[in-house]
Parts: sequence; structure tokens; C-alpha cells
Amino acid sequence: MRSDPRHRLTRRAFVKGTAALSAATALDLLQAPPGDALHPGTAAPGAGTTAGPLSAQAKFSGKLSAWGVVSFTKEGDALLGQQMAEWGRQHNVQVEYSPLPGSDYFAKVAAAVEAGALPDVVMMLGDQTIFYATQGKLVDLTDVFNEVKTLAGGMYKTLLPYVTVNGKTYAIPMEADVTVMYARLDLCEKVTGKREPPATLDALEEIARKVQSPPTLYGIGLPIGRTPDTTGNLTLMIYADGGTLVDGHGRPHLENAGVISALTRAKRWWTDKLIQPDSPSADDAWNNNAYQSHRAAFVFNPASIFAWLEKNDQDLLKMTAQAPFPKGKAGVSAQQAGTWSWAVSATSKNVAAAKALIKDIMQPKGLEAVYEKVGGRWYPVYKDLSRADFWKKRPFFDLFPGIIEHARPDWYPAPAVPQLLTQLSAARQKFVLADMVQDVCLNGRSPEAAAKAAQVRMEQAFQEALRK
Amino acid sequence: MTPGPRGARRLDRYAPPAPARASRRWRNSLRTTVLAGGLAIFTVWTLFPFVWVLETSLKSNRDIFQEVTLVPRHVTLQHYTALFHQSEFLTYFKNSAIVAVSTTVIAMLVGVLAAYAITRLSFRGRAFIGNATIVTYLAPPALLFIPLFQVAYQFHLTDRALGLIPIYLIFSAPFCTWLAITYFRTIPSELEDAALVDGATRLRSLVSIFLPLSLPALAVIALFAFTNAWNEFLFALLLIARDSQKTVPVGLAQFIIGDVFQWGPLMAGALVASLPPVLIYTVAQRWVVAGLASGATKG
Repeated sequence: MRSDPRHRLTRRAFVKGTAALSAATALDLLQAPPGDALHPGTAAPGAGTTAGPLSAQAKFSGKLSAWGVVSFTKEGDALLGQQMAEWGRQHNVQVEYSPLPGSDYFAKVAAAVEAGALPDVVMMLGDQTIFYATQGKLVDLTDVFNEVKTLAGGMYKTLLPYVTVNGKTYAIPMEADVTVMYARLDLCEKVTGKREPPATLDALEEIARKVQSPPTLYGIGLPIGRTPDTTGNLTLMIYADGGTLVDGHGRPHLENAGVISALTRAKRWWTDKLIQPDSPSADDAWNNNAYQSHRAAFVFNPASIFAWLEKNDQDLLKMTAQAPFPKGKAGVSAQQAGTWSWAVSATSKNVAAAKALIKDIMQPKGLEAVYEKVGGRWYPVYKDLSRADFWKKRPFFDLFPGIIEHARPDWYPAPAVPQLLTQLSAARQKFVLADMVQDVCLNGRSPEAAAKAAQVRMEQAFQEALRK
Repeated sequence: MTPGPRGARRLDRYAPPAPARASRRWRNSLRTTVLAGGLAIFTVWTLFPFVWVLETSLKSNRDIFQEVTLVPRHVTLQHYTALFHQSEFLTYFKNSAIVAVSTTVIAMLVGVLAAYAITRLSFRGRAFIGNATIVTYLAPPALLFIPLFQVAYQFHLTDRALGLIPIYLIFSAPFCTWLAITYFRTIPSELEDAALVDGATRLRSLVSIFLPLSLPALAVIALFAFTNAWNEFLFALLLIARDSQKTVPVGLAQFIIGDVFQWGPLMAGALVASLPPVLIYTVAQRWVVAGLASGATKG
């Protein structure tokens, strides 16, 4: 049986096909970043720095997938997805953005990294960037950062340690995460006669004692469960009382006067029932729930509470102030700010397009539109954006720029080196601080003994992080 | 026929004296009261979470946080509206249905055929394969999720709802096989021998003898496979990113945003998502009870 002559493989057709394939492969090798082309899936940090120009004229093709954590609103997610898709349409790239549940985001990213299946563009939370960049899982985005860092008044410098390894930027901060005190002004007014939040932890305690009426209202919504909020809240209390988590060399340093003072304070609040009795089983939503259900006069949390109040409870919002964390014994008002950022996977086959996409969605105008749709939960990373109408109309956020500028990170007073950030992350995952405060409040240990035991646990966590 | 006076007297001789009858009546009524009371407590205990879910789904966001009541003061359907009109819940529901039904059907098919072979055919390694099926089922999914993610990625099974079916079968098929083996062993081999003597093939014997006799067990197997696939969260979360491919458990998780739980739509979604298993359990209840009971006595 003779085959169809249209499908017959002739010598000429074979040579033509081989030549075309070779040309295409060569072109692909020239366009792709060295790490990707020569060692797919194993690109080292720095791969992609020579990926080509990020200019608008650059030609792209293929597909890009992006993962992020769901924002506070569906509209915010939708707009972000539209912006990416629109960029893709303009540049002949099919872009798909998937907003994913935040509760299990770390597990999903970890599994994808292990499987070499991380999407091209991926949102990194907090110091996740450092963790993966030091393992060579992310592409160096210093070139992108250099192009966006001065836009709209420039980016807040305090956010950069979360995305920088050995002077290279591995992710571009896209929102600032600020922790503040939520205070019931009506209750403050009852005690002090002034509609002002307390400026010190002692004043806060005094108001809390006078206004609370358990079980319907407790003074302080301080979580002491094994949850990130406990770690964050206790760290701020330690700073306010003059303590630190590490010393100047980045070594664990929990046996200090500030830690003892903060633990003594927490124990007093717990013993005197200023804190809800279910606090030891708190999860990350516990203090949100406590404040939103009018069961706590004061809580410390990021802006998610504001976003919820604005949408669902205007009456409570009118009685609420977002204020800096009160000063403690040391007279210090310690503040916290973190960031979520965009990174590019080292396994991406379309690094140049991924970089260009990030550069596009980091343009201030589009970014501000997303912030507004998200309803205040994501705060601008560019300084001038905080002067946009949306933020001006919400005086609640007036203090945010100052907090971000003066935020004190976990590694204070040591310099931000990737190894220390990874070690601190390991200690956080083991809930060393939460266990310490539970030792004092629930197990009857003295603050000194609890700090000593926590010091040992933290040293172990640091050692284990080094071994990994 | 009612006994005459003489007969009545004869019967009375065997009847307990009046105080004993009163005592028995009292004991009976006490037993009934205790049973009814126990059942009432058990019913309330069982239904309370569902009632709580229902009333939370009917409250406004503000009332959810401020009102601790079993009956909402102001009933609102806003969360159901949000669920059906502002989220992709119906897509998630459809995906879950396709995945759960397909997994159940394939798992049953594989399970029944494998169990039949293991219990009725003679071949080398039969006992080992029979025991190995349950060992496979005992492997904790949490340990397997990274290797399975790698396998799924290599086979292009990620990011598509249908890709979950082979993954779920890894756990469902051994379990179904094991359950079917347990039940098939209780069916007398004489029944099948008689059919074979009459000229039936193995397949005919399976279809005409085994399956009709195993209906209660098959109902239990199907329910377990369906419920497991319907509720599965971990692998669905890991393997699916695209909204259009998500199943209900992962879709609902999107209502948890960091430290903010959107309780209203979450509860509304949980309630709607619980309906298919409840419906199937209700319909198949007769067989399920028979299946569980027969497994208990014969196994």
C-alpha cells in the first residue's frame, strides 16, 4: 500500500524540518536566560539577570501562570487578574492569575517548589522570599526593582530586607502589612474623658480594668495561643519594654529585662482576667473576632479589622481608632511592618515575560486601583500613593507611613542577613514566643524560668535552621 | 377468640401479681423514658452543628459577630446570593460532583473486580495482594502529598479537576477492594459453584450471583468512596489553582482570607455542600444499615 504522497517523508522535507527545528532551538536558547536554557529547573540565584530588556517594545510569547493569595475582596482579585490578562493581550502572552486561599498557601507553595511546579509568577508572604531565594528557587529581580524603586516617591526601605539576599532583590514588594492597635474610643472616653487611644501600655491597662465587664466585654484581646498573632503581639510588647529577640550579632537573646517585663505584664493581664479565657486556644482570626464582636476594648492586628468594619459595622468603626502600639517601660513605641511581594520562579520558561508582567502590575496607577478595590487591607508600598484620595478620605491610615518608616523588624538590633531571617522564621514556626507566654500564664512558671526555657528552644530552632 | 371465664382464670394463674405488673410497667416506662431522653440528647448533639450552620448562614455579617442566638433576629439571604452570584460556587459544585461520581464508579468497578479475583480465583500471590491493598490505604495522605504532586505534575494532572480522579483512586480503590473482599468472603461458594455447573461464566456469576447478594456492601462502599471524594481538601488544594477547576472544599476555603473568616458565605456554602451526601445517605439508608450490620456479624 502506498502512503499518501502529501504525508510522505522525503529527504528534502527531512532536511528542511531539521533546519527549521535547529533554528528554532537556537533562537530559543538565545532568548532564554542562561540558567533556564542550560539547566532547566535548576537555575541558580542570579539566573535571569540577563534575560533581556524590560522595555515595552520587547516581544514575548507563550503562557504565564501566576499565584497570589486572595485579597480582602473578590473585586480586588478580579482587577489584578484583569490587569495581568490585559498585559498579556498586549504582549501576545496568555496570562492566568489564580488567587488561592491564604490559610494553606505556604503548603501549596512548598509542594510546588518540591515538585518543580511553581508558577512563573508567585506571591511571596513576608520572609518567604528569603527562604526560597537562598535555595536558588527564585530569579534575581534586581533589574525589575531598579526600574520601579523610584516610582511614585519611591518604595519604603524598611520593606526591602524581606526581599533582598546578598544585595540582590528576589521579589518586588506589592503591599505593606502594618500592625496597629485597635482601640474603642467610646470606652477610652468613659475613663479618661478624652476620645483618644492610650499612648502607653500602663494607660491601656488602666482603661481596660475600668471598662471591662466579663463575659461580654474584656479589656485586652491579647492572643496567647500558638498562632502568628501571638508571636507578633508579644514581640511588640517586648520591644515596648526595651527587650529584643536577638542580640546585635543575631544570636538568640530572650533572657533580657524587656522580655521579663513583657511576660510579667502578660501574666498580670491574664491573672486579672483582662484577657478572654479562650485566648490560649486562639487562632489567627481570634482577635479579629474579639474586636468585631465588641468583646474586646483593645486588640493589635493588621488592617483587616478596619476593612471588615468599613464594610460591615459602621457604628463600631465610628467608635474605633487605629493607633500606634503603645509605649512600654522603655518609652519606645515599637511598630511592625511586613510585605507581600511578587517573585519569579527559577523553573519558569518565560522569565523575561514574567519580569515584564511584574513591572507592569507594579506601575503606581494600576497598583493604586487594586489597593482601592481591596478596601484598605493592602497598603501602598510607594510613598506617594498614600496621598491618593482613597487614603486621604480615610484618616485612619494617616499614621501608616510613619509606622512603615520606623518599623522595627524581628531581627533588631542585628543586621538583616538571610541566615538570621531564616532562623527567626524557624523559631516562629515553632511558636517559641507563644509557648513562652503560655508557660507563664498557664503553666505557672516564673517569667525568668519561661524566658530561660524559651531561650533554649530558640537556640535549637536556630541550629536546626542552619542544618537545613 | 377471647377466653371464657374459666380460661381467663386459667390464664390469671400464670399472670404475675398486681404489684409485680405495676413494677414491670414502671420499669418499662423508665426504660422508654431513658431511651427517649438519650435519643433526644443524641439528636440535639448531632443536629446542633447543622442548626448553627443554618442560622449563621441566615444572619447578617454584623449579627454573626454580635448575636449569640439560635434563631436569627433578622433573616437575610445575602450570603446565599453572594455564594451563587458573586462566587464560582456552582462551578465548584459541578466539579465536585463530576470528580466524586467518577471516582466512586471507577473505584467500585476496580474494587469489585479485584475483590472477586482475590476471593474466588486461585493464583500465586493472592493473599499478599489482598493484604497489600489495605496497607496502601493505610499510608497517611499527608506523607504522600509532595511525591503525589510530583507524579501528578509529570502526568499533567495538575490544574484540572479530572486530574483529581486518578489521585483519589489511589486511596479509594484499595479501600473499596478491601471492603468488598471482606463481604465477598461471606458469600457461600456453593452458590457460585451451582451457577458454574449450570454453565454460567465467571462474569455472569459475578453479575448474577455476587452483585445482587452484595447490594448492601456495595451501597456502603459507594457511600464511603463518594463521601471521601466529595470532602477531600488536601490534594484538591495542592493540585488545583485555576478557579474554573476547583472543587467545593477548596472553593469554600477562599472565604477565609488570612485572619478574616467570611462566616456567612462559608456557612451557606458548607450547608449547600453537605446536601448531596445527606441526600444519598437518606436514600441509601436501608442498604447502608443492612451492609454495616451484615459486615459486623459475618465479617
